Amino acid sequence: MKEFSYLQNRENWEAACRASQIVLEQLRPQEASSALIEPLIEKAQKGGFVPIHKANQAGGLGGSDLMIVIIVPIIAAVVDDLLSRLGTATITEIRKRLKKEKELMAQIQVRVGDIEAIVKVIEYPAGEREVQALAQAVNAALLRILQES
Amino acid sequence: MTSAPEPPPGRQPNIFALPSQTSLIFCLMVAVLVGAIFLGSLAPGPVCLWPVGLGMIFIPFRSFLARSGSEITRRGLVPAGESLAPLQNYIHTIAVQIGLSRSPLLLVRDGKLPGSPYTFGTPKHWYIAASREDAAVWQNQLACADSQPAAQARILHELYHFKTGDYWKMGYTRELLRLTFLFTGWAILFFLGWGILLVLAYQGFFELNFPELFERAGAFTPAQIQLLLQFLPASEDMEALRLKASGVNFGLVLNYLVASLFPFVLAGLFLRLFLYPKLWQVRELYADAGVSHNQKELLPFFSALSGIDLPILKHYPTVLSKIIADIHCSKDTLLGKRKTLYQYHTSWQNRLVCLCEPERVYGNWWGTALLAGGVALVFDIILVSPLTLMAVGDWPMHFPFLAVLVLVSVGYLIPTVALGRNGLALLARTLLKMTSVIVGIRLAWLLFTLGVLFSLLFLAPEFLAEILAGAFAAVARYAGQSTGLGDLDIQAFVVQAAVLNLTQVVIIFLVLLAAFASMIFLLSRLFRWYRLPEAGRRLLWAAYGVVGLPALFFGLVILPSLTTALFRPEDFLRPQSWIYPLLSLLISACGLALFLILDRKYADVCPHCGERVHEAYQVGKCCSACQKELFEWLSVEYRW
Repeated sequence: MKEFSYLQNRENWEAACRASQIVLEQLRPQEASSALIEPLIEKAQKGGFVPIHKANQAGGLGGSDLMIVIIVPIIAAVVDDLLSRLGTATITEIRKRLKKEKELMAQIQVRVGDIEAIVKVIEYPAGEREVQALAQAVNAALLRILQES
Repeated sequence: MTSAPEPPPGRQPNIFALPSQTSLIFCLMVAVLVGAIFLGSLAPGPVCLWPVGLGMIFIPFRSFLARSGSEITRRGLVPAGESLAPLQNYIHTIAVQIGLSRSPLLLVRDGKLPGSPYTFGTPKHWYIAASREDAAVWQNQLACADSQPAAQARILHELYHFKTGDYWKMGYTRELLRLTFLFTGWAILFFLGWGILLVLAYQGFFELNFPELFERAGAFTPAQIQLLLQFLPASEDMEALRLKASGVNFGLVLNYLVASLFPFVLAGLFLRLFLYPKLWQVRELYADAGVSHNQKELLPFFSALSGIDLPILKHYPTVLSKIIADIHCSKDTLLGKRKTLYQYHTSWQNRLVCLCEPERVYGNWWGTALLAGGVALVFDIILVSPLTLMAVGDWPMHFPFLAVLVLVSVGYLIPTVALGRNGLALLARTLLKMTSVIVGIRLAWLLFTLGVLFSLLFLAPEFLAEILAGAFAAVARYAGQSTGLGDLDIQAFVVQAAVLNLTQVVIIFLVLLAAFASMIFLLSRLFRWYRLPEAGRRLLWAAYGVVGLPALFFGLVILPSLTTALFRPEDFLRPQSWIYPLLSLLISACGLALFLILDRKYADVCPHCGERVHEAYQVGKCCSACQKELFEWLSVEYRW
């Protein structure tokens, strides 16, 4: 399983936590517990993606509907992938580059197809609209954390 | 249950020592359906229905027993086998540890198994079903010291479904609901088809000339025709039958059937939509509680619930308390609440909160009041069906009153008083609000029906007369025979119905309030009987007895007297009408006297040092003299 190595950096880790918080507040406000995000980021960072039926074994306890378990690893993957694609080590570097290279914004945008691919890997049965909403929320969250100084 | 005083750190209310909410909901569902079927089948009617009633009670039990076999076949489940023997052995060890009388058999299936793992079985054979992959993961987790507690939490959760006995309650209820819908659906379609066929064909059938028919067929000799005609009604008999049938209004027959069966459909829908999911949700909360009671901490359970590895969670020692604080701060949307209402499993937030505040399993006063009001309304509707009205029509207030009394006292009052969560004044105010909601639901329904009646009276009196004639015919001894309205003054009838029904609402409100007030007094005294020997085993039964006292007094002394005064005041002159209330009064008085004697003997004395204990009980309360915990069985220790 692939590790999200960029998240070993504390700054990137915190950016992933912040982005997760923003996405959860938008999509699942009742689950936006900041306390749970860090353990989930740590789990994702160490273990990469795990199919949902294995990751969220709540089925064994009655099938709880814990969306945070799905959303946070997706954000972790997106942040890791973004840093990897742009060849930068930290989120601060991206912020600095953004000030100089406006066209970089297009590369930062996460496509629906990317989210769809992740959703397939984790075997989460999301519909088209759900994936679109997730992509929109992720992009908005990325934009916010990159604009924050 | 508001303004809860905090228990000592680590001590939580033990919900297994309080009335089981699972059993209460189960009994309620069975009482509503089976009770209505039973009463309906006993009442005099045009069709002998008691065998159907018996069948409706026992066939679901038979289906429940047979379901395990069909579940195994349908899902392709097989015994786990040698490769999973360590897991099966571990299940056996834990089953013995928690005091199960037998160990469930682990059944597995290759490939995905929806809902894996889940429990099912009969009183003699218990099963845990899982996909082979899941079972292998748990077996590996059990072998690893870091993940073992989380895997154990999963297994404990499943085993507690057997420990609490909810597997058979769920199984029987599911089959009972299924049969109710199947039977009522079949009956409606069958009788509808039968009625339509009769309406279309009865004229032609009674005019059949059998000798001519046989001759035209040409297949019989005259001797054979004579033989056949001996077995058929003579033409005079056919004429008599035709005359008799012409008096039957088939529209009224259909009206009778729909009026008889519709309340069962309505009750079944209410139970299926509201109580059945609640039963599922509550049973999960009890199984969760079983895990925490055994493991004495919540983190392994949360690891199992969230899928986050236990070692990771242990890096964040305050994670659970922070999550719980976040849950308390967050506000669920109305849509979220509605979604949760119909889900078979309550939200993970609710499951966590119920472990930290176990009394939440019983719900809040508002939820209990809505449930009790809903059940009372269902009883009201069922009991005016043509099948039941003949049996219980003389006592329109008793069944809803008793249902509400039992539901509120067992599902709300006993846990609240036992845990000392509310002060008596606050509890009294809450009960006033609950009673208002419960009676308000009945009043709202009544005002709606009365509104329709009065509107018809003024706007379409002829149509109202037709409806009333149909209703009278439906409750007549023989379905389909129109009795007509005779010289009934419709306006006077509607006004009298309105007055009688509105008076009933006032009576129920006042009697319920009085009954609840007396229950608060009795229960608050009972939960100070610190000195009662074997209190852990006996006190809950004593509480049921205490609930029975006001139920007996108000349900069988006060309510019958008020009902007689309202509907049949002339009956007061007959000594027979006094016998049962007097007998109930005598039993109530004896029960109260016994209660007072025992109260003097056991109340307010520490069982450990014999010193006086002056304050009321709260979870974790200790004797001020010897510092030993009182009612220690009412609390349990676990941390998060």
